[in-house]
Amino acid sequence: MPETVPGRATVITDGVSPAGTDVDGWHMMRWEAKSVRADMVAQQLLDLRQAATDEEGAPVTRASVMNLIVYAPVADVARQAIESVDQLAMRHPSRVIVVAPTRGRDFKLDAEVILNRYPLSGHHLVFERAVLRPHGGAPEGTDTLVIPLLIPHLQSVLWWLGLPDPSEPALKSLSQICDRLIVDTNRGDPQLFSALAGLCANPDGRSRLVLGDMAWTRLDGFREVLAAVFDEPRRSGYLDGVERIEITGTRPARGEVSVAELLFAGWLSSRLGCSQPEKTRAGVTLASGATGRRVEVVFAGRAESASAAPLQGVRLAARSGRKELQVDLVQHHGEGHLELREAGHQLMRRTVPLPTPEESEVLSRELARMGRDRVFEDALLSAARIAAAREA
Amino acid sequence: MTRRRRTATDGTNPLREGLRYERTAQPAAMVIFGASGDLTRKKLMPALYNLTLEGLLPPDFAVVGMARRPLSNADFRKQMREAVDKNSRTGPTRDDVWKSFAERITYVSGNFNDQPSFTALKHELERIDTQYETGGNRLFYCATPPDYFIPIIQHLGKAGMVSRGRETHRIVIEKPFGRNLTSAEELNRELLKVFRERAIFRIDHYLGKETVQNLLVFRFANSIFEPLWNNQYVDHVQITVAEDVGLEGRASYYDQAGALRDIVQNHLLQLVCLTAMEPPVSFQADAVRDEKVKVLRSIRPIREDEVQRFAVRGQYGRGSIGGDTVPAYRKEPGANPMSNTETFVAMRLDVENWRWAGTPFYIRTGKRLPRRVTEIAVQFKQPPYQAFRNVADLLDANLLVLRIQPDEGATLKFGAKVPAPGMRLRAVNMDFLYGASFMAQSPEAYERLLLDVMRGDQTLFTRRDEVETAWSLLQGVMTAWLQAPDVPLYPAGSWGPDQADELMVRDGRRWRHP
Repeated sequence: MPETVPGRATVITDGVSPAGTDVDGWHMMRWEAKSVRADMVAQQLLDLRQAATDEEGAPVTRASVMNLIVYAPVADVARQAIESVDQLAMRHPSRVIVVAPTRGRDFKLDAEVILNRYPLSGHHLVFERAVLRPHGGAPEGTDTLVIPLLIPHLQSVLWWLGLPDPSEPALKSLSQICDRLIVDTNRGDPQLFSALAGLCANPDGRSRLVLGDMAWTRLDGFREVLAAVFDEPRRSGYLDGVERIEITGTRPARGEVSVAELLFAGWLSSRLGCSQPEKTRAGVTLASGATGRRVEVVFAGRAESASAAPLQGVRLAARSGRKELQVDLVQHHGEGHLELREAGHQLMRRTVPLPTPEESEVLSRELARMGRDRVFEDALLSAARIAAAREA
Repeated sequence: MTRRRRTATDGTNPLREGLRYERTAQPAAMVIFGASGDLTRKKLMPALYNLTLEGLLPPDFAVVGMARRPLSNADFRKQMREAVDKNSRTGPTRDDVWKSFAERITYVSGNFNDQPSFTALKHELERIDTQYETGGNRLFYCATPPDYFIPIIQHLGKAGMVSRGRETHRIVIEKPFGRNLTSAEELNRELLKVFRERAIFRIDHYLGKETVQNLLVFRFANSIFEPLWNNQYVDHVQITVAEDVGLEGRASYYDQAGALRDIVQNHLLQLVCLTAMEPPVSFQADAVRDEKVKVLRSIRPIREDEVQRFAVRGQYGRGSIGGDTVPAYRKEPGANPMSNTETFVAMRLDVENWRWAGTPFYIRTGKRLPRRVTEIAVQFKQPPYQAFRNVADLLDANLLVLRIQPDEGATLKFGAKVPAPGMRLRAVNMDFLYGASFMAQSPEAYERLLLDVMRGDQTLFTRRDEVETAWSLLQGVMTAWLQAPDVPLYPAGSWGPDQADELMVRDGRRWRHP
């Protein structure tokens, strides 16, 4: 890669493709500068785009379906986030604005702009990424750093890779300019659940900010398989008679109940209409909305490496009249082993694909969704109450 | 604590909410008649495997293949694995997923004209119900040549394999659905003796394409196009379904069918319907199909004595495609050297209703045309008053092109001033490339359609009256062409015979070269 001259565009002409985009004919232009103002970065985006012409000198089309703002306060996290976003460049072409702040006394902004041009069906398209590295400065003014770089009239999505705490000044500031906020509740503590749930619903019942959660989306596979079991009308009756739910999540070494375990319990209890959690030794009990009886929820998580799937297994015991059903779903190396037993007899045993999606895949699913996810909001609220009962 | 959505009594599944599909496929045993055929290998099995991979098939789902040749379950599974390896869009087959899926595939050897074969099938299905918990639910898929459709339907009925309480099991019928109005009516009669209309899925895989469904979104989810979408602003519409390939080994089928039956009666008329229809009151199956049928009923049928004026056919001769010489249709392997089958059709259709009267629809399809392209071009009228007539050359009128394949998107052509002193105008394109906005790999049409069959959603399938009206529209053309069998030739690699151009020139218009 050629030397980068501060404040000057550096053009790399041979088809360098970003990670994960194995396409011929990529062309990348890059500009990097130290101690600049945000409006200079915006000007660079414009200049690079005008310089990016096709072989005949004609201007090229910009492909953008959204402004994607990535906030990553840790250098390593920022690097990984950029990799994930690059992998999605073709599925969700966006203007990407990465904010990677570091602490300092006096404010200073370093920036980098990259413009990728790629061929598609005889046309050329570009998409852009700007990385802003503010040192020092006031976090409550982070939005003013980003606003000059936004493409107007496009939806803005904030992928927040810091602590998912709504009282964080930078989060407050950036959420004012966004339509959608994607957090990862795994990066925080279950105590933040209720504050996050509060973001979703304003007192008037309307929400300006749509909330998404990477930790929630990672549970999609488990939810799909479990839901499919009860699509069958013969089994749907059991859902009113759920008696015991055992959730085995992957826990950090400390052994506290994991975010995934709580979210999954929150999902099941909100879908089944269970309420009033009371703490037990290994979990909680909840009042069933259908029968009024207590449903036992057991958190049986175990310590595994951080790369393991967030959920290891779910076991559900239910009764319908005099019949009993036990559903066991165990995750092992990307496969789900599903077993159904009715009154002790095996009904079926299946292997279903249950891969742990990569980070870019999880993000991609989040980006594909634009409206409110009320099922998630319900689950988060339920999980917050279960977590609070556990703390009590 | 939170909103409670259901109970067991309303039969819905609260765990399903918020997931990708509101309803999933029900447990079922799917019977594929014609299990050794091309369609099963190239489309159905890869689609079923991909649905399994995506977790969209219920855990209690089984497949029974039926064909004439004797095969063991193991051999059939092996063949199907090879077919999936070769034809699946999702890359290398995953052993674990295949294993779990293949366990539930079995094979029955049988003759479709023979009642004992169906008795054997019935026993196999009863065994499967017990073993795989398929709940007695069945889905029959006719992937055979069309001659077998009626025998299969009759034998299923005689064997008592169709009823399911007060309903009937589902059946999927592949195209061609009949070869004229009479045979389509007969097939419908036989079907309806045994199956209920709401259990009959007449498949037209074009409707399963993402891009075709997007046409409805383009029209009815945007407010800026619909006010212009009528005879007041639109001069005419051109719909092209062009293939660059020739027979591709389908000689025996194609020589009997021809372009009119193979493409016009189904795919092209469907595109006309989707372009011309009124907004449906909802996206429920019958609401959408009601509107499509209304379009078909509004099209003025071409009488035998008008065929010369409104319809053109052709057959490709020797020529070149992409710089390479290709043989004439009659010289293709397996083709009849005396064949008069048409490989090209162009027609003018008049949709005689309030919205479209006076705005003709020109449709054309052909094999061995210069490129593979499917598009709908909406040609707008000239502005009512030419304000720039004294200072600039007349511009082309606005044009909106909806490309269905290969690179889906929309192009709007409009006039702009050339930046220079003086007034010079130029037509420029505003281009939207669907692929540039959503590069996600789209599912195959058959995946979508199979899932719809399993979920019982008929929106993307043709209804009885739709099929019959489409055939009746073409009756005059078929009769006229049968009586004057000599088909004009066009060189492979051209846009069809000269008569096709004349069809347009007569109206003061010309075909686009997409």
